[in-house]
Amino acid sequence: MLLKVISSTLIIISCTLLGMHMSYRYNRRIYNIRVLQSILAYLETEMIYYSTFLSQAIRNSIRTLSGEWKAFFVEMASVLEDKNEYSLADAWQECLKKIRNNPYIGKEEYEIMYRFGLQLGNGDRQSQVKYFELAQHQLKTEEKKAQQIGLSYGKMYRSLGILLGIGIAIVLF
Amino acid sequence: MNIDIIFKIAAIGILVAVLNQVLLRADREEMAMLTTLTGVVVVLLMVINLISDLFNSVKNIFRLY
Amino acid sequence: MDIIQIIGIGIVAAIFSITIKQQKPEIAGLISIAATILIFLIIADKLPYILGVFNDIVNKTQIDTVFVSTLIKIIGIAYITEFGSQICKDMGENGIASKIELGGKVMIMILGLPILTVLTETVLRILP
Repeated sequence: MLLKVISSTLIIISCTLLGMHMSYRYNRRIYNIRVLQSILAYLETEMIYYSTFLSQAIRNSIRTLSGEWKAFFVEMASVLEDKNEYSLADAWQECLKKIRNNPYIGKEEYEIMYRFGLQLGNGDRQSQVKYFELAQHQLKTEEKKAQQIGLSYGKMYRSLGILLGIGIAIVLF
Repeated sequence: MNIDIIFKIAAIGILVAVLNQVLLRADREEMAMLTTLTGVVVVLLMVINLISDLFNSVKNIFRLY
Repeated sequence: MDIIQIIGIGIVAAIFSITIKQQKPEIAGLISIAATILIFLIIADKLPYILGVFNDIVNKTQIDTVFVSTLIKIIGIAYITEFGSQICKDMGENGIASKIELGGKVMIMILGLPILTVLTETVLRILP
């Protein structure tokens, strides 16, 4: 009897944690999009107004931030510094591929950044500004969408985890 | 042979109802449908054993061979 | 004090059934099935005693035991049939319920036929 109670409690707790984790993914994704937006804004200033090298600009813009995109940009900066034979677009794609399967990064942001990387460094300053604005705009739309999804699905996963745990415990009891 | 089973069935029923509400709130009608189905099947599996018990005991008592 | 247990099971099952019926009527039906069976299983311990007393009386009065065993079988069939049809009616399937009752009636009729033949033979023997 005691063993049953203990094991049921364990099942419920673990299922609840699983649900919390699933709903945490949505919040984390929204956070990542926001971080990405501020990184891009910083990068834009560095590139357009200070005209620093891209690797240095990247290092400057991610200094105070965290999240999954920071890893990508750190990698990007080091690739740009180490391997001079890469073109910017190649290096960008190479580094993006490494974070493609990250659960905290949605497919939409990935696509936006993929397209942005292809355009980065092409054309003059005016068109660069335009590309930055485009990416920012798209990210803002994605953030709104992610917020809506996160609000309903996050709640759903949280209660789903608890209820599923209780259900398994009852069926096995 | 215990009253446990009624509590268990009722708990599963309430659980399925709540799950249904949650999934409907999140616009997942098909998942809600599936949970209802799963709940009914699980409860049915529990009750089927009881029914076979009942029929066996009726057979034995009234000698319906 | 098994009667208290029976009443308790009944009331608890009824309350649960009402609670769930609005959300999930199919599971409410399964609860009533479970309650019915549990109550019967409590009764099932006592029934053999009653039937034993019945058999004793029959043995003392020297009635043909075939009749009595047929009677007991008929009671059993009637009980199961009632159980099945009542559950179907609770779930709102009156059509299936009446089919189950029809099946029960036919089965009882088949069991009763030997008695009927004995009766007709007796009547024919009495008549010239």
